[in-house]
Amino acid sequence: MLLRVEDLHKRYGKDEVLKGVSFSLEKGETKVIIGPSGTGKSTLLRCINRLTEPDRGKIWLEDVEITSPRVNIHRIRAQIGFVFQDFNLFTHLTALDNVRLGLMRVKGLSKQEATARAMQELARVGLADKAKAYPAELSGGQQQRVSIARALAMDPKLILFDEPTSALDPELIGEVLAVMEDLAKSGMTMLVVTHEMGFARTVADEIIFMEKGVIVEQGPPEQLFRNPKHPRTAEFLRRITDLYGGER
Amino acid sequence: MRSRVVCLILLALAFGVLGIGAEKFIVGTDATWPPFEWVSAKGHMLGFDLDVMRMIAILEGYEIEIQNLAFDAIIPAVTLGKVDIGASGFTITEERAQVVDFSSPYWTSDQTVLVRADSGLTLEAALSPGRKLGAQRGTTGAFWVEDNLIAKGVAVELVLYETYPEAIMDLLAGRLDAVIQDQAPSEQAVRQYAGKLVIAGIIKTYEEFGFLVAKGDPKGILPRIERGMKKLKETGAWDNLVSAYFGNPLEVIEAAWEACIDVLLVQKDPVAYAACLAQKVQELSQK
Amino acid sequence: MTFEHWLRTWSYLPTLLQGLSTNLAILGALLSLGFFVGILIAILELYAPLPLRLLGAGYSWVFRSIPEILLLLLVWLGPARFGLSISPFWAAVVALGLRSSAYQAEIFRGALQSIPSGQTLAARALGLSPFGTIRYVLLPQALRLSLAGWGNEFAVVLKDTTLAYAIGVVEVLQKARFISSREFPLTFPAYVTVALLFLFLTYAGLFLLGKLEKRLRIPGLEARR
Repeated sequence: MLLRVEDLHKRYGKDEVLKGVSFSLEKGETKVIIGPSGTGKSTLLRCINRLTEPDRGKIWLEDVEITSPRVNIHRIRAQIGFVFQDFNLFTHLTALDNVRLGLMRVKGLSKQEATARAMQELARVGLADKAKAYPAELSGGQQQRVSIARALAMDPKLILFDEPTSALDPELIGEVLAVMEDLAKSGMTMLVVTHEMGFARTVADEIIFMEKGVIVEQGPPEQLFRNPKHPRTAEFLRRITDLYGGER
Repeated sequence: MRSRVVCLILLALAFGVLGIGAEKFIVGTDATWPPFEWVSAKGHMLGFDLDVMRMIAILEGYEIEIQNLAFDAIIPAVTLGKVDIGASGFTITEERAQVVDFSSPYWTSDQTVLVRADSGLTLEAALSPGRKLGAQRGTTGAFWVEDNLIAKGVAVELVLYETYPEAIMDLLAGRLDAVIQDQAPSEQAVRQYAGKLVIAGIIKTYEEFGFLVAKGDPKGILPRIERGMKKLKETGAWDNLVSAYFGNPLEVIEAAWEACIDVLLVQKDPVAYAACLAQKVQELSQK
Repeated sequence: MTFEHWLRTWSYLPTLLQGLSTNLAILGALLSLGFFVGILIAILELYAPLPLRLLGAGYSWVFRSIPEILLLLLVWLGPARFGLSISPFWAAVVALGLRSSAYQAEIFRGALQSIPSGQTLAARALGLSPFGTIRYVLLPQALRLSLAGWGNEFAVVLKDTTLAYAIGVVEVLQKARFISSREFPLTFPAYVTVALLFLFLTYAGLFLLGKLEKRLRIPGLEARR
């Protein structure tokens, strides 16, 4: 088991956003989390690499309990990739430098080693020719792909995607989803929060439906789409397919 | 060879020790007040006060370092020990004597009232109600106006200036009716603005100047200053210095100073220096 | 004032320039002090635990409230009470430098805060320590964003160096006073000359800063106001 989340709780003031969430991920699996906005999906993701500290609950990355206070969280984070909805590229660095930063300053690679590795990942996401471009000179889709390259270059055990296409113009979504699909097929362990049902249906090994801070239902895509066990699942899927369309 | 090196080292050490042994006092002054203290065109600090300080230092065997300060920063610096001696044409007053110790008086002065030559003002007219008077901040001239006119209900306006020349500028521009200042600087101004300014009258204030040190004289400087002044007066050096510095154009004094200063600083002979200065000034004035 | 007076004043130019070099020396030292302390205070105010944040805020408040002349006198005279001594030049550098650091801290703080917080998250997500985040992500951007405000600070502080006369530093304005008390009619020309020198210096400084800004410019990284 690569990732195990057990009974995660998180409260903001009076709002309990995560009310005891548990699930797990095997190596190579891609799971997609869906659900209405504000149900704590992003919070869940951020708790996994402790960008947000959970109030209660435990998380294991392989056999290391990463919620333990004794653990070196920086080292753990270097093993977990994170792709943000708003890309969050470093504005003052070129695409190449963005990808290189973690390699040189966190993993301690030399400049040559880092450059080679970074160019490899940029090529993988199809942006080798934009290595010297600054984020402001790239389209949204290109920025997000650089952001994925940045995460990939660190050789993470798992990558978390927090609504990676929600901030993109429709015509740019496709290129990002294509990269993500490739990644999943190549065996990367991924946990994706998204509204893109087409992607979920095609790429996910399992879909997790969350509502109001708890997991309502989880299962293989076909099962959820065709035979949802829970009425709320069915209702949500119907609404979202109306809004976002099915296959892309 | 080795013994020579040892000798040199010992000699250097000896000089070093002697160097450490020499006393040094810091003299604070605001060198914008000729002929008591000012900076020459070539950048030397000279003036009656400063030369007296230099001469006494040589007589008494200590070193001095002259430091320029804003006039009203000198007394605070002395009380806090940043400066050892204040030599800046300080009038001895009761208020000042409460925070510092003065030497015996070395000069007497009165205040003068300076007006524009074409204003035709007399002393009484210049100091009458409705007039605008100027003075340098922190000087006894300013205090005199405050204590003897304003406090007594005479409706004059007193404008204070950072430096005396700034007050003179306003007087010439017509923004002031008169400037109150010590005698010597007033005579300077009259000379430099030939025909434009005139001394309307003298206010007899019987002011006396003194050198000052911190209250209680912790470093025992005052007795040495007194001894020095006495020696200078006995030998006639004092009178020579006075005749050199007062009543002569600044360029003349500066030229004489440059010619004679080595007699003081190198040959360490204050009496000869004063004589040289007085003589040179006379020579150059006659040209 | 006659033309002759102006000519005579300009014969004093070497000594005025010598005084000006003192102003520039104070300026360089004080801006450097203000720069490094300013960054430190800004980081303290934004990222440190609460007691240090309060310390940073308190520091800013103190040094922005006390008039410069008073600060100069306090720094110069203060150590004497404890038997220590500081030269007028260094007292001026420390007093004006610490004061500048309070203003520079505000500039840096504003710049740091204008960087979208998502970038901090991304940096942390990569595994960068808080120090590494500041060093590699935040500071490089903040420094570029601060250039405009820094130009302002330079122009202000250049003028403040003339206040050092009060504690005995013979800088350019004091030289002008020496000239004026030696020859009263040169008072106005001397002061005007000093003013012109400052006009020139300010222009030169801002010009150079503008060039630096251009060189460091990155598309997309502009000050958001």
